[in-house]
Amino acid sequence: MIRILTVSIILISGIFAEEISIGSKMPGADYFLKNIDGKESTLSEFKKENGLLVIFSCNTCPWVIRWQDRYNPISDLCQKNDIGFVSVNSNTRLHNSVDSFDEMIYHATANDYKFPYTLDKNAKLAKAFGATKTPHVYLFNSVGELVYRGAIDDNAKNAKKVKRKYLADAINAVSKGIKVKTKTTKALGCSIKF
Amino acid sequence: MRNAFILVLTLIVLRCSNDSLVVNVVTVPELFQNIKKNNSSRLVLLNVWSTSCIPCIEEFPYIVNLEKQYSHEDLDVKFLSTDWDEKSEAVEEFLLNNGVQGEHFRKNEDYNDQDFINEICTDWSGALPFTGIFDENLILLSHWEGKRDEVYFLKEIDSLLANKREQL
Repeated sequence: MIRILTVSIILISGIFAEEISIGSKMPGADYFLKNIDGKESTLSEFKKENGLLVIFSCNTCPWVIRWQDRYNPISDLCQKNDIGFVSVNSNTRLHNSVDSFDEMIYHATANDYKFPYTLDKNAKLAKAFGATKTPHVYLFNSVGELVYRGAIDDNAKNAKKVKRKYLADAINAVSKGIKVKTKTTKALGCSIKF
Repeated sequence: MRNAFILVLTLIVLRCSNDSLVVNVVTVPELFQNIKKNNSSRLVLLNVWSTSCIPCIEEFPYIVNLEKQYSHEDLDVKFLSTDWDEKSEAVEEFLLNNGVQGEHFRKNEDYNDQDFINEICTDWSGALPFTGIFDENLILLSHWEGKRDEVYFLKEIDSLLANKREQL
């Protein structure tokens, strides 16, 4: 009975791990993620000199659909500032349907993704991050510490109505080696389908 | 003449059935104000959902069913959609198709997401669905994000009602 209880607690804590906090070291840096080009890489490999941006994303969430017109400009901003950028699909429960690898390739091509879009098998990375929704962003600095987590900006529906560009501000700060002012933000999103 | 009468009667019936559902577009302060003004239940269950959220749709029927399992004195269920204005008709259609009646809500799309989330529950990440159970003064007693099964809902409500009875 005790063994069953212990196993249950371990399983539950594995599924609903606490979200990583600001200052945490990048978790799961050695997990392999399969990019839509077929190549498998780790977060350590995606990271560049000034850091790494990880976005948990998917193919169908309406918040992703609305926000993804800002994905390529963010990718350009990362590139300009020598920060790696990887988007991750952790919707395990839908990896045989709307979020399958083939659907990911189709989605990335249709939306002209200029950055890696990877499959997180069994949502191992999302669990390690304690990520709960899409889109959800995590920005790490040059030494792999979390400096920003949360939303891309304050208006998913309309890029023209954005008042605060949380993520762009954080990227600009981290590339200059200065402190990120707004470290955590929240926005509505689709739950990750573990 | 007879057919015209039947048509008019049908339209009246349809109009009446739509009148039993009201979806108010609200900010969080307006949401709580509206609920408080009309509340006569010990517990208020607030479910935040969206028409595009699969887990929300999956758990929806048994949340609707909760109202049949508890007296109105014990529990009132309120739905708060996070759909944008362009989906307003789809929201009403979905609620009607699921037999939802009474006053329910849709988020004012201009209301800041972060304020919306934190004013409902500071522990909530923003992932949908979200469920909160409040007391009659709209103090949050229990909450969770993500889909749960019917047994989980029943256990939470029963436990909170039992606590309330002990306090009497």
